[in-house]
Amino acid sequence: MSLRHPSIWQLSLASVIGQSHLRESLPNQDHACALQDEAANVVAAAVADGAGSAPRALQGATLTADKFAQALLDLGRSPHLAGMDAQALHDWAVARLEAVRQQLLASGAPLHHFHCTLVACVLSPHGRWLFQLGDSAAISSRCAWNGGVDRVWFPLESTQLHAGSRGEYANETHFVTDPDWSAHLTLLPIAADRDAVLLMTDGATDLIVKRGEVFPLFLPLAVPQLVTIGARTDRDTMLAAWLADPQTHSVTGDDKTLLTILRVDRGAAPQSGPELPQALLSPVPPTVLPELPPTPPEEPRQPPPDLWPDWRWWAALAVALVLLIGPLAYGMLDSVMLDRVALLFADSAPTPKAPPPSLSVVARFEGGDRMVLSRGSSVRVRVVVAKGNQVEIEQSPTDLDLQPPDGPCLKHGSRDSQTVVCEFLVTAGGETPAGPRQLRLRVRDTGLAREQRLVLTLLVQDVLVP
Amino acid sequence: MSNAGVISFPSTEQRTPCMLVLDISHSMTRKHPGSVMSGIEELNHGLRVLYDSLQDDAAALNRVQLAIVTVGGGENKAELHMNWTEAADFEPPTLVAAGNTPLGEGMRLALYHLDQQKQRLRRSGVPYTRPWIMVITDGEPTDAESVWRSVARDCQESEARKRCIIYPIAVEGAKLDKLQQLSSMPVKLLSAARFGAYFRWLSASLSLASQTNDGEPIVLDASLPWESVEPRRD
Repeated sequence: MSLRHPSIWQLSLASVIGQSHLRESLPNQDHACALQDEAANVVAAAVADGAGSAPRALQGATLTADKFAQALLDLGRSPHLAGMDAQALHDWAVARLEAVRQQLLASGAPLHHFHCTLVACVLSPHGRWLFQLGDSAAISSRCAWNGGVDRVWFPLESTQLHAGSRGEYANETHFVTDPDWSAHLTLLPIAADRDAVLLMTDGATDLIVKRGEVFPLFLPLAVPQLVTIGARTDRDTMLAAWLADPQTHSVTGDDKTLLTILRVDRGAAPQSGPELPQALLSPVPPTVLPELPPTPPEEPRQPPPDLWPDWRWWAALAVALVLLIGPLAYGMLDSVMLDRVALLFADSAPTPKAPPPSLSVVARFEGGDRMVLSRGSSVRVRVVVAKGNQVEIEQSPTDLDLQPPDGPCLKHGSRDSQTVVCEFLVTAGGETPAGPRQLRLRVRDTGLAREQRLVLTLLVQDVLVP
Repeated sequence: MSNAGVISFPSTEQRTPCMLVLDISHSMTRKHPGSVMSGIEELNHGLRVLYDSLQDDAAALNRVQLAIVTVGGGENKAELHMNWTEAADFEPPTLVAAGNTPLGEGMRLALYHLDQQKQRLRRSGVPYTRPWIMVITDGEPTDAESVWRSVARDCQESEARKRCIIYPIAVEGAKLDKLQQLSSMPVKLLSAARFGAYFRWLSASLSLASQTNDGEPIVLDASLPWESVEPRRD
């Protein structure tokens, strides 16, 4: 590889073990392989997530990611790639992965002992493609650049999440090692205007994606720091520190792997244009990504191709977006990432429909049934009952140290139903172990003198001492 | 399922459906060594243990769904004895043993009702884990050979296509090789005297399965507290 042609791509990669794997004395079963041919301007990368329940998952993930990334690098160097359509590439990938499966089988154990997912990409002048099998995710995004590489932000609407396939069941995904694996291998072209491609296992997805969408400030916060750090080892250290932050333990117990591939050849400043405040362009609180001293870029950057002739328009749009969304997003960031309290995530359950004017009752925790509690934080329960019903909430005292509201619960009525929201104050913290807790509700129908008892389960993931 | 007039609790939490296919043929009236009760009495006791265990497990109570297909009995046929029921609404039935063992018909019925339930869950947008079928028998299937072969093929295909996981459980007297044809999971041996332990374990396992989220179904090949370890022959 020649260093005379600095790559337009900058790579950073980190993989850290999950807390649940530590507890169960399992190794980190994620594996990633990122290869770069700077002279040919090709990046080939693969990330594989070994299933926690498969005895040789790490071996499966390692062989799959390493072999597939190497094959992708060879493919990316070849001009034949330009002539391959999705079907031809699918066939190519199936043949490569079948070879990996055969190699795993040759070790004597059944294939399901090596269960792992795969997400991979090739970025080459001859073509850019994403390969996915299972629930390891990818994100691609455009960047709008202003000035040097340390000034970067993202038009939010261009950020695309490729969540991968989860399969029919809530707790299952597809693996390279499944019997019907090739039917679940998907290919997507990556548009030429994508300046950032991220590959990750689901542990990292849990940190970056909330309710099916990429956390709006993740890229604008992470990328400016990454692109200014010249040494790969420093970038990897920074990513690893972020992934290993104790704050993440309450979000996921899974292994976390994140690979970022960022385009860095658009660094030169335009000669004119409004100067944007530095604080707006890289608003990085030190608690989000640990700050490391920026090192100067390794090589002088080439003048950028004029891919953004109308960059001022983008700049104006981005500023408007940041100004509009910034306070809102920072509010979310504050509660989600910084405040250590309201890590209420993944409430995938659909909102219950208002019941017919009968005796049906729907109750759920606001923000999902998994949460991190600390003394003084609150737990809100939303109960939808037919109009005229009276809600009484009782809790079994041994289960959860909650103080019921002093006053009446808030009520919102509609023609047929009323919603009652009760907010409980958490009165204990620290001593109570994590785990499922019960909250017993008694809903009384005053008109019919009937009552319904419900048991809600709250999965308390951590109890923090403030 | 709730009847009219009874308040239902349509929680939107993810569900784990479990179909019990229970052999209540005449052979279940036998008393087995080590037990003062007949097989059917042990089974009925076990179902009450299942009820108690579920009541003590809030996660399972909100997430597990049960249905029962019985094989044999007074009507001497396979029938849906209990339609899909939330664990919170589950009332343990008292089963009466009589008749033959049309287990093939029972499995066909189980697969059909499992499919119906998955469609219902899908339509209502409730996520669910891979359903289980627990088939428990102490005898030899009395279906016509052609029926049995066709059902066994359906079961194997359902498993291969990940429509469900079939766990075959053999009580004393069961025809092991026939039972094994229903599933790729190894047949586990259960002494009739340990029905209580089995159903306590089932409740805990369903609870665990209903809360997993790590991309893999639970495989029940760890040590089973109820499993009979003595070698058996057909």
